[in-house]
Amino acid sequence: MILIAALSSLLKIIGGLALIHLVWDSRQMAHLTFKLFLGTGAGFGLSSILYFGWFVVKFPAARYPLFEFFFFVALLVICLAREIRRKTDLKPRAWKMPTIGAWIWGGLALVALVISSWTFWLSSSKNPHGYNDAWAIWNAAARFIYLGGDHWMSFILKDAWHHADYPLLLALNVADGWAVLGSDSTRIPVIVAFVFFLSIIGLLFSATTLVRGFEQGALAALVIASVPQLPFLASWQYADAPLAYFFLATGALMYLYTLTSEKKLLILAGLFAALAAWTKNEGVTFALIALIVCALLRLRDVKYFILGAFAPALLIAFYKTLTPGNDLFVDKAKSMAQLLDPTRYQIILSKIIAFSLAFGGWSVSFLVVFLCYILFVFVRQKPAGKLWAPILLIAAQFAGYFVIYLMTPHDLVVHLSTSLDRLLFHLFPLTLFVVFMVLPSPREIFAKKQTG
Amino acid sequence: MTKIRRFSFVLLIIVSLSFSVYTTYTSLRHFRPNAGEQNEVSAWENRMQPIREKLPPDVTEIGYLAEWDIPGATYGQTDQYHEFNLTVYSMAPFIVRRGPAHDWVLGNFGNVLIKKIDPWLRASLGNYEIVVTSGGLYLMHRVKP
Repeated sequence: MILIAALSSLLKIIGGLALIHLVWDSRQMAHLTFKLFLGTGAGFGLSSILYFGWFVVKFPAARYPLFEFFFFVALLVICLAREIRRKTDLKPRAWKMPTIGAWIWGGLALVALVISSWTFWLSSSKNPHGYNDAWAIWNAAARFIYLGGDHWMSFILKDAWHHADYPLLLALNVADGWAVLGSDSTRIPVIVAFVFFLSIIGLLFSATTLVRGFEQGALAALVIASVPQLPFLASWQYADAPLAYFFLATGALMYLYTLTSEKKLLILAGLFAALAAWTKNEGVTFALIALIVCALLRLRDVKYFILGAFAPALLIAFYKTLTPGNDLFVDKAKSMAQLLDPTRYQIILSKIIAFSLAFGGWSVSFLVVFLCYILFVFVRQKPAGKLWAPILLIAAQFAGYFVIYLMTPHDLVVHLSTSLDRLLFHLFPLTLFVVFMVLPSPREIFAKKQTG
Repeated sequence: MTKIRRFSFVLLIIVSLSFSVYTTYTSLRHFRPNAGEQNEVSAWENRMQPIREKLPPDVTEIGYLAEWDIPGATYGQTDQYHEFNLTVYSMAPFIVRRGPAHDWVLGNFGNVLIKKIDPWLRASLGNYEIVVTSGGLYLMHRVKP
């Protein structure tokens, strides 16, 4: 059963990789790992869009898994056919023995990955249905989709589960896995969660490697894999880990665009920003911010970003016409008045400091340790490209969270206590990416001639 | 400066891996092989199973009454909310609505004896019969006069 579940996810990943390669047809081997980890999100995103569209046009639910299988196989065939037509040199290049340093850094990152994965599986074994919000929101939505069959969309309007207005990328993928399997086994949401867990580490590793080299990528992977919050949050089966993945993908793609001026990267950035909005409501704000950042980078290239975001954005707009209203915007006058309340600023700021210091799940503060590391190894050097783009994404999204807390109609302290650590996590992988863009790499640190 | 940089780097790796190992060790120490079957969601689903089986196929929505509805009852708001969400998840695709306004109503009264609240239930539901009891949960059906 677990094999079928894994194969169902594997097909999506391969289909996603094909989609990425069809859009961004770079043939550099160095891009392959990055594309593979972009492929996971693209595959799951595409699957959820197709599945939702399938219901919108009222096709029978039972036929969907077969359609999806042929769709992804067709995507793969188109991709391979294009490669063959272009006579890509498929001969393997002469294998070069990696350096001892590469073995060491790669090995250390792999050790961290294995340990973190173990924590993930231990936590998942304890809570196979996920943690509270998983079964109250995300997996509850998946159950209504899977068990409701052809008529599940009527459940949205009936507000059948908690927060029926939340986007459906995660729930549709879980429901799709169940449809393939023929039962609502807990293995499917666990596997979906594990794929996103691995993809966060893999994407951070591959994106950092692309810009700063293998050693720096491995170090970034080691650091993020060593933060216990990642395996725990992923194993809870919330949408926060997938959202963090989409934030990272968008930010990294935008930064790579500033380095290469390849417009195809902006198409992908648009796609991933829109998929963030299809994952969680916070992603809607993020997608809008990403659009603005893109316009600031180069106004005439915004069309590429919009091109990538168009299909998912259309779907989200349609979905939002079906859903009940969001619970955060019930009393607009009161929310606006709260913006002028100085005590709320004080409470939010003090919680942000406390949560940031406790962030990560180490016995000592991860933030303090990492800031010390930055302080000791930092060398003033101008980063390549426009690093302000991902920095602006992070800062503006964080400011957006701050405003939401100011305006929330819920008890502020309870709202902060139950969500702030997850909101900080949304921005954590992208923040690490930015930091590792400016810090010296292990190779530079251990080079014989040192500057500073 | 070079030595400090190198030392900081090595220290970061050691600290990162140490906390990673420590977290896994702690998780492993608290691990129980049968935890997957004993988690509260699976246990709640097992309690719901006899109730699901008794519901007629044409029913799509059911009512839900719990301690938070009983006048004068003491309860924890968070617990009540938690159990309601567990019920929604376990009963899907049946829609569970708070209140007595359905022909079929699920009662989750915790330690409150149903005999004690019978007058309140009759005032809320009218005549009713208990169709099935499962682990302190009651599936009640209105009896038409």
